[in-house]
Amino acid sequence: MRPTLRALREARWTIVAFAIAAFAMTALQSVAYFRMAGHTFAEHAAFGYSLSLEALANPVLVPPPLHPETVAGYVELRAFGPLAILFAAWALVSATASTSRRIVSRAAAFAISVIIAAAAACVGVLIGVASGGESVGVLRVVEAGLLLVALATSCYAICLVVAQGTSAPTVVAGGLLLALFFLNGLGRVFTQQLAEARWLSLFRYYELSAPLPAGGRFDVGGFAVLLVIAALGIGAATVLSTRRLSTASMRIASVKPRRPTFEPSPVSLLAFPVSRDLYPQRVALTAWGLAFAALGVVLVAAARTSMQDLLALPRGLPGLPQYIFVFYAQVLGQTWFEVALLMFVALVFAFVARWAADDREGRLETQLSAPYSRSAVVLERLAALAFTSAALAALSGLAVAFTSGALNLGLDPTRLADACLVLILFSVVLGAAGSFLTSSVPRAAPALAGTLVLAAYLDDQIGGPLGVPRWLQDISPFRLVGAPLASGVDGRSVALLLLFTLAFAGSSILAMQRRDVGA
Amino acid sequence: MLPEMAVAAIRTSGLTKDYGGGHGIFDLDLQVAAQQVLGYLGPKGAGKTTTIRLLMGMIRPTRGSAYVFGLDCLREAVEVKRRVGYVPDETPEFGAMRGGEVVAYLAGLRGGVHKDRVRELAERFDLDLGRPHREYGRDDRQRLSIVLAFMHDPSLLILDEPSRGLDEERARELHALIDEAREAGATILLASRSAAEIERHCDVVALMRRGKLSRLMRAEDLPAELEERNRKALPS
Repeated sequence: MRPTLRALREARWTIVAFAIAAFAMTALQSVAYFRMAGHTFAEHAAFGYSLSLEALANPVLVPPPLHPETVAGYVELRAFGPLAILFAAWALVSATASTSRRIVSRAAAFAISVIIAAAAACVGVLIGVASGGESVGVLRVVEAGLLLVALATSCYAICLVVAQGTSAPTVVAGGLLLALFFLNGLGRVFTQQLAEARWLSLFRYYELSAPLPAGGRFDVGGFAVLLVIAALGIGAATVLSTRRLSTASMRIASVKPRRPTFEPSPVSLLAFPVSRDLYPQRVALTAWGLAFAALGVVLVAAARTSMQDLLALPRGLPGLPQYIFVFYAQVLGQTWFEVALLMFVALVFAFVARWAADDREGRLETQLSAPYSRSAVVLERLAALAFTSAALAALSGLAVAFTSGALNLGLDPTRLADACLVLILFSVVLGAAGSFLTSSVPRAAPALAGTLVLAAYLDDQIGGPLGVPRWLQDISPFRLVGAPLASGVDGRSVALLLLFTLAFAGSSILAMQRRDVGA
Repeated sequence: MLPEMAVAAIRTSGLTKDYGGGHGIFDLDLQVAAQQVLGYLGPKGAGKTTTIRLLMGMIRPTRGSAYVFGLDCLREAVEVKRRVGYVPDETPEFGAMRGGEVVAYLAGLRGGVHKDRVRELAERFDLDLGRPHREYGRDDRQRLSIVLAFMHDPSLLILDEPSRGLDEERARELHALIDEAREAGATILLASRSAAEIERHCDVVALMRRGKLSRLMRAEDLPAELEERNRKALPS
């Protein structure tokens, strides 16, 4: 019990941050619904239809919504959908960050943390829905919360198992979760080819239920499978951990000592700025590169299938575009570009977490014991992120261009280049904000960066209906990136992104100069 | 005479870092001449590491100033660190990076480090640079910190409990290395909780107590001073 309490105490700020995020997501989305959906039956129907079309255009990320014209259906789609991704990311970081061997205690602490955050999400739904004078069954809300807990703990268990067998647990477990997520998402598009394989993904079992909207259901079987995965995973991780420790000590005793090396590494990349920062992350960066390229290819194919589904809709319905060229670009904007934005958020988060760890684990103090200025630390970190983002955006853009060409889908190369440029700027502006947080409050930086990204996302998505001032909506990076594939880039938005990057980078340098390191 | 010898190697004036609750260091006035070896002796929490972090420009003073070879430790931190080799109080964590990669990385940041010198130090301390840092034990990590501090033959060595975690043989090697650095003309600030270690190497000893400099004396006077303190501490 005591180790669990200790783990909970250590994670208290993370729990608070996730609980606030979960509450804000459900409460604000519920409130926003009442301001967006209109008042008449026809207005509700039109609103629901537009959401269904949006989901049809981006089936990889968004499952087909059930009654999106109702507040319950809307919240299921727009609040619990993103929360499932957020909680999966939380599970990944929690399971792979700690090196403690008390696996069961850690898992119990994580489960309790997730229950607290899921409860906050449920309270958010009840308050938000009540604010519009409607109500939603408490049991349905609790079921939605329980599903989040089951998904997060099963993700946690899978990551724990992976962490026992690799020296790069975050990369490998993150790659596996991402693969499972996209296996399920792509299964919605390639229904024939991936029909069987989709059942390998735990996200599929989560998606079997949609308890909130009328006519939705809580799939007990899917829920039970998630709990079984969680229990088996934690059990397997405990066994593997014990076995790993005993075999490691046996190996040390039995293996012939190898010839020691007294030479410094001959790798010349370690001698140059930026490359010396990226070289230790080469395995992770290669994995990112493969993921970006693979998604570029697969999402183009998914966009073509979605486009065919959309074209099969009866003509004359509202929301259907006129021209096939614009149409493909729009669908690709919904699939590839939006997924790429999400991936860049994850990339920036990984960089910010690493910068915070540099501070916590004494690497920053060691760097600063060399003749290396604090401004150089900040600038080199941002340059490394910019370089990585440029490489990944180019890789993904090339994959999109080649696949589009191979499938005879017309795509304006200038617009594609614009989209890649915007992705780089998006990544760098988020990174600069993360750098400012790391320079100011390193320990809380990852949680604060996550909160900032969520706030920017909600600002763009529901800022208008919630009465957020127009200027504040217009500076959300999610708004500033626009829709480059469909309508090109806006010079003013690019200038603002650059300006914010410079402002955050400058503030970051100042904050870094003024604070204590290793105190 | 080297230009560095013309000014004090370390000079602090009214140096204070107040963490509140009586923690930190207060009004520290200290001067260490070039090529001198200063022992910085005191129990845990006496303020040794805080002073060292102030000299290294890692933390900002509440008031007062600190200079190394006439250079301001905050404003001219980069120049200061060009001249300094540093063994920190706590060893850092470099995860999957190999020892040799850590050395190459920091040598790259520093510049002007000779491979032969690194090899010589690693051999003397029997430190396998081919192993990942995460596999290093506590003593391996301490030995790596020593290699990193000495690899560029600095004019000033700031060593915060450098023998901690080392076995007897490696501690002897470290003492030999400190003697060599001293003979080569380096100034040394050696913080330790071990009076024997301080006595062995130092010309001057600064006794720290609760964040204040309680006495500054010649090293040969240290045994008598400690005996006197022990006598006073014993009940009559």
